[in-house]
Amino acid sequence: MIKVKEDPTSVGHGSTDFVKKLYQMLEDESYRDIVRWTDSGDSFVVLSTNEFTKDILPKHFKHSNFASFVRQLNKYDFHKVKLSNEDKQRMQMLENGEIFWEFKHPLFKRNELEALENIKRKGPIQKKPGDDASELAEKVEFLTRKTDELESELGVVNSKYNTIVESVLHMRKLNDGTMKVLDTLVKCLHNAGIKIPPLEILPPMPGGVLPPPLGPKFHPGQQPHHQMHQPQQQQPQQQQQQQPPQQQQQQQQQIHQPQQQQQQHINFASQTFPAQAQHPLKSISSSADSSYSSLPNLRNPEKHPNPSLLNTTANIVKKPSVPHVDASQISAATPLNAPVETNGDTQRAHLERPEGSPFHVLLVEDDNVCIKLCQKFLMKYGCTVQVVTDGLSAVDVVGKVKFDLVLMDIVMPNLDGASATAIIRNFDSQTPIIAMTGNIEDQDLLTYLEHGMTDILAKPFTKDDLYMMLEKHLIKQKMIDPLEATYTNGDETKVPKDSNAITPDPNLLSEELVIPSSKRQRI
Amino acid sequence: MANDISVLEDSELINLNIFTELLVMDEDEEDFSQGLITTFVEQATAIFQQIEEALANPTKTDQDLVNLGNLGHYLKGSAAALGLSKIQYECEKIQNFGAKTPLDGIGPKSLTGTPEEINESWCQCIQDSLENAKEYFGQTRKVLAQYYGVGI
Repeated sequence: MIKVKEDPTSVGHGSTDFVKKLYQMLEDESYRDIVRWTDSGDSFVVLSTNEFTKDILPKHFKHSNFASFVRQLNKYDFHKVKLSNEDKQRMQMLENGEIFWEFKHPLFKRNELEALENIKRKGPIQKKPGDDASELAEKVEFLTRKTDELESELGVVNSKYNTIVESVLHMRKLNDGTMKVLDTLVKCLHNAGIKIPPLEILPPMPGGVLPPPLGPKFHPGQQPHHQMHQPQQQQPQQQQQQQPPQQQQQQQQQIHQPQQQQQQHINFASQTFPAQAQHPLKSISSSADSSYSSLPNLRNPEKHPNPSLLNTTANIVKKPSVPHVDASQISAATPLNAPVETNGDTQRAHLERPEGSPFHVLLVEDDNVCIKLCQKFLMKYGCTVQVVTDGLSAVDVVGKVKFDLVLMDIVMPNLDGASATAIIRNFDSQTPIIAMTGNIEDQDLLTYLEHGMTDILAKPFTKDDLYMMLEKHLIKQKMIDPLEATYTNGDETKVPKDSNAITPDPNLLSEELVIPSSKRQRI
Repeated sequence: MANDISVLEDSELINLNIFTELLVMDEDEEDFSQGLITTFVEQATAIFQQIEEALANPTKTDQDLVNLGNLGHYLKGSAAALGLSKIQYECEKIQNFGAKTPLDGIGPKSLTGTPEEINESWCQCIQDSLENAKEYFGQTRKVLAQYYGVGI
């Protein structure tokens, strides 16, 4: 390149100087064997590049660089002619097999001297076409790289966005759950006879100023539960105020739908927690409504102006009170019986802990087969079982009911088990949560434990695997914190009764238990 | 020849350690194990159909693969719980392929081409595993029907 620039033929003289020199050179018959016109006279051939470079170039163009010569030809828009095989053969006759270079320009013809004037160098912009091309290529490459970078960044941002949207959706669902909790609390207070203008009194509540009569009813583990909802409290209240009860109810039903579909077999006892009022339409049941119906209905009619709601409530109240003893019998009997007996009342059941249950276990699992099987194993062990089918419902129900153990699947709709556990750990640090998972890579296990899982039960597990896990966590828990088991859903009068139930009744337990009861006591 | 465990044993489709544990449950609740199998059959039929529908989709996105993997994972869990080990293994393959991961060295032969073509290669593997799983599923139903002496 530099060489060409220095070449006086291209720089110092007119633009057609090079072409004229070229023409002159071709007219020299003495070069015939090295460079000459083709027979047709509209192109020329370099027959021997070696000799051409060595002898002719210095003479005519004052350099000996064939590449520069070719480049210069290109600048004047000469093009190399591709030789056909026939040509090559013909040329071969004359030469010794060297590569031939044939160049052509539409205006560069033998005996057409005038036309030479019209052969111009390509415009100044294209002065350095090679440079430009490489520059462009560089630019293209740079842009391509940049585009790729941006694309992958966009991918990352996209996935982040999706995660955020998911989180927002989860938060919204949680928020709905919070609304329900607040609603429940308000009703609870009303039912307990505490006169509160519902929405002004609520803000201080999560701050710890629980009205005294309510305080003792709550299990210590539930206190942080309120704290968790503190940041969200403003919004739910507003919604509570504005939202028509009908809509509110729909939401509740939606949330509980998965449980409905699963046809869980849940044992339950009397309704002690007035949260039942959450599902007035669905909670009508043939069995124990005792505590609820025994409470005076102090529900604020302004808050639930929907007549059908009120009617339903009235129906519940009219129901004859079922003695607690009956309820205990029901739940005491169920661990050994087929689940059929207690089937079909899933709405209410998840709001209460079966009275007298030695072990109340929450099974969070979305696979029907696993549910059936695991539930069977658990019941055979003497546990009462509640089933929910996604992480969100798990968070919801753990916030309401005291469980002795939670068995948590990982891959589930709505909210995965690990995330659900992390949320639960915000308000409940004690309940053992066991991850049931097929992913037992070290990294996965670490993640689960980091999310607050107590232990891991690898899937698929046998009955014995499960029982070992139950033994490890259920018994330990009872021994360490027996008070834990006295938890009731809020009716103080029942505490003594329940505390009797903390010692597992040997008659309740299946004979086929892996752990002999003697061993149980030792642990 | 109902309730002849050797039928199941000979088939090599079923992990008897797990399956006999289910049979023990029948002592408490008649037809418990059979009920589980029925549930599984319904579930597997539905999942197979969902996988087929996803595979019938002409363009496969990464999300499609993720969904396919999830379906594989789901059915894998059910099959594993019942000891249906061959179906379980094929489902595990589907789960892995959905995550674009080979299992035991099984995966697409070549992974060249556009992202769509690569996804298609994984889907082809899923298709193969699905065919296998369905084959095993049919055989499993047959031997279980023989075992229980009723149509499964």
